[in-house]
Amino acid sequence: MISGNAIDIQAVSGPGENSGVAGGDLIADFVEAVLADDRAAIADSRSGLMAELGAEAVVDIAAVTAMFTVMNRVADATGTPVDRGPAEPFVRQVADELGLVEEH
Amino acid sequence: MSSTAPSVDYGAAPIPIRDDLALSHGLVLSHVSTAGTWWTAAERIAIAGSARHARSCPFCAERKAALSPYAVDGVHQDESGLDPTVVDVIHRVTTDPGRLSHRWYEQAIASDGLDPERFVEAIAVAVLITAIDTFARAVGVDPIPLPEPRPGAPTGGSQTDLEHERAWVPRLTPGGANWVAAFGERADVAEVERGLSLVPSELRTLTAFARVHYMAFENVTRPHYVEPGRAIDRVQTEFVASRVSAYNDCFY
Repeated sequence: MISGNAIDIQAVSGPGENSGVAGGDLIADFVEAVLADDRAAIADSRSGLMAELGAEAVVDIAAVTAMFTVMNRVADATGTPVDRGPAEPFVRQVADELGLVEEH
Repeated sequence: MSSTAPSVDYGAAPIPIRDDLALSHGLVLSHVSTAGTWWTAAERIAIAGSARHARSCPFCAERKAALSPYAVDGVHQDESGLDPTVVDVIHRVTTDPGRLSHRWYEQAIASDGLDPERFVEAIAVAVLITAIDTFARAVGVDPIPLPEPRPGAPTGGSQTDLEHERAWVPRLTPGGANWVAAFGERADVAEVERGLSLVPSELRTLTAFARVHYMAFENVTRPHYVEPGRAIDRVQTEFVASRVSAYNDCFY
């Protein structure tokens, strides 16, 4: 609730429509195409994203995507646990809702 | 990392690429091609090449599609010349990170080719190259050629003040001198930041990479923070991060 707008948490793993995030459906399509290495879908979704959010936003989205390929792999390969602290119950709840498990 | 490394030339991209990203990728390639703490420069370039080619490895594709990664046997397609255990670690982290297990880690470091320090450094090199390749794909350019390895020997130097609880790999203990050297006086160091703390030079590279691609780690807990000059807001940033994590079956 950073912006004051309601966000649909299921949009994180499902279709991006109605996510409450500006350009959410286009962002979701682009990120998925990049991670799936689908060259045609990357080009198509990048064009749509450029028209909607602009070329600078596409570059920023590509950069965050790259960063989280790192974060995910570091966390998974090193057995990094969920952070302790006030946010831990919330993080676990969101992970449960999305079917994401902490591997041990 | 050398601060004199050339920026990557993204002139062939269909969209303009931020200068700080081109410089960051040049710095990473320079870092990878320089002898590390435990691996030689040639070995680090071999690790990077192995990570790059894992995406087209038929055995990785077959295993990724299997119900369990242990349900299929095979040999990786890989020309790196690295120890087979190291190759398997790099390929699995690159292509199927969501199904790694503590047992897998313990088996990997029990081999002759790896110990926790070399494991952490290899992971760091592999994931940084994977990230740069992901970015290249996203902006519509071919993978950046890997540089030639530079002369020099690994620096060595075991980390101290380590804890062996919670994570699989040893990590810096909060509050020690080495912790302060790595993280300053911060009280809000995320668990994932600590993942590479066994090898400080790799942690420093990850920290610099994060600042350019996402945000400085110390600002992550500020919910409205966005690095200056970015064209997407914090909600969009976290939406992208969450989509990537969900795709990779990662809770983080």
